[in-house]
Amino acid sequence: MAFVLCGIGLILPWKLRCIYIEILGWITQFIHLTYIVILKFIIKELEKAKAEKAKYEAQ
Amino acid sequence: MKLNETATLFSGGTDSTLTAALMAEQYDKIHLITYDRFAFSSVTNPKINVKKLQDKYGKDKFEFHIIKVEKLTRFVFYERYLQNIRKHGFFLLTICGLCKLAMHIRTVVFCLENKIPNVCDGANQGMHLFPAQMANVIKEYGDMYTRYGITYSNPVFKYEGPQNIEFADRLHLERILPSEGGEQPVACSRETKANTTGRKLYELGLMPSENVKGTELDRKMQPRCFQFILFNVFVHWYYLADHTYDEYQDATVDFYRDKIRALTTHLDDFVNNGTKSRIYKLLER
Repeated sequence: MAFVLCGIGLILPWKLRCIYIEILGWITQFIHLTYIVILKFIIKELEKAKAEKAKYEAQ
Repeated sequence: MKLNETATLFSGGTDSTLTAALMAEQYDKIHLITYDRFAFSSVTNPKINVKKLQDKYGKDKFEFHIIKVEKLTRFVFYERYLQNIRKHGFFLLTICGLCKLAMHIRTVVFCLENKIPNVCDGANQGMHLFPAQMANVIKEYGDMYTRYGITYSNPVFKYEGPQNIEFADRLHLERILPSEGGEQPVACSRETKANTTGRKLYELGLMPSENVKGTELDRKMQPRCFQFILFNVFVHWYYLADHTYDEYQDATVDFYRDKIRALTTHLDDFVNNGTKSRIYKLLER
């Protein structure tokens, strides 16, 4: 896969290469942000669960 | 020659900002140069740190320049292209290194035209995968600058890379880890004691915290560029999958030595023939 991505980049002329990399960049950002959003959601829910557990044990 | 002046390649990031601050203590005037080309955006972002530097050291101390290098960068990337593909293969995709090379070529021209004998940048040993921040490539740049009577230095090279920027650290997992007895995991309680550029900027009052690398503030201080994506695909996913770092370093130095030598002939042509040279025709004013 890396060979293909690099190969495409190598044969493209200047502006097309820049646009190609920009597209790769936005795809990477999308995957990264989706991962972050899901992970932060999970952590937030775990935090809530921990707080509820502490509250229950205090009672 | 303006011996009391220096030019600094300035991205607006912590490394180049600290470089500029350190130069303010040595020189009367610092030319902060930010470069612009196709696929860069928000190139005026470094003005945020230019203002901070001016507020601290004096408005007249710093002169900010945004210089276009579109044509020159394209030339640096594609000169002797087929020959370079045969000899160096995918190293032609070390985009960050080639982009920086174009910036250095333009900086030589800037210094020659303005009679400035000193250049510095924020190259740091922590960024050792980037060609322009490898010690042996920096030596080649130094030799290139020396050829034209210019001193090239890297005042923040020995500073340590930023600590506490691991992905898990940013998530502050101590919020959800068990808190009954026992020690906190080391990653959650690690304090920054390292000698980093961020720490120094914080001590100088130029940054709000010791480590802003990778934060929203860091992104707003610098131009945006996604070109490093393909560079990372090549280095991490393709080359380092089958080679050691030493092999990568050696091949990188070979490639950049070759490139710098070829471009030096064009700079010599610029020095000797001025407006008739190839480099002159690539300059954008």
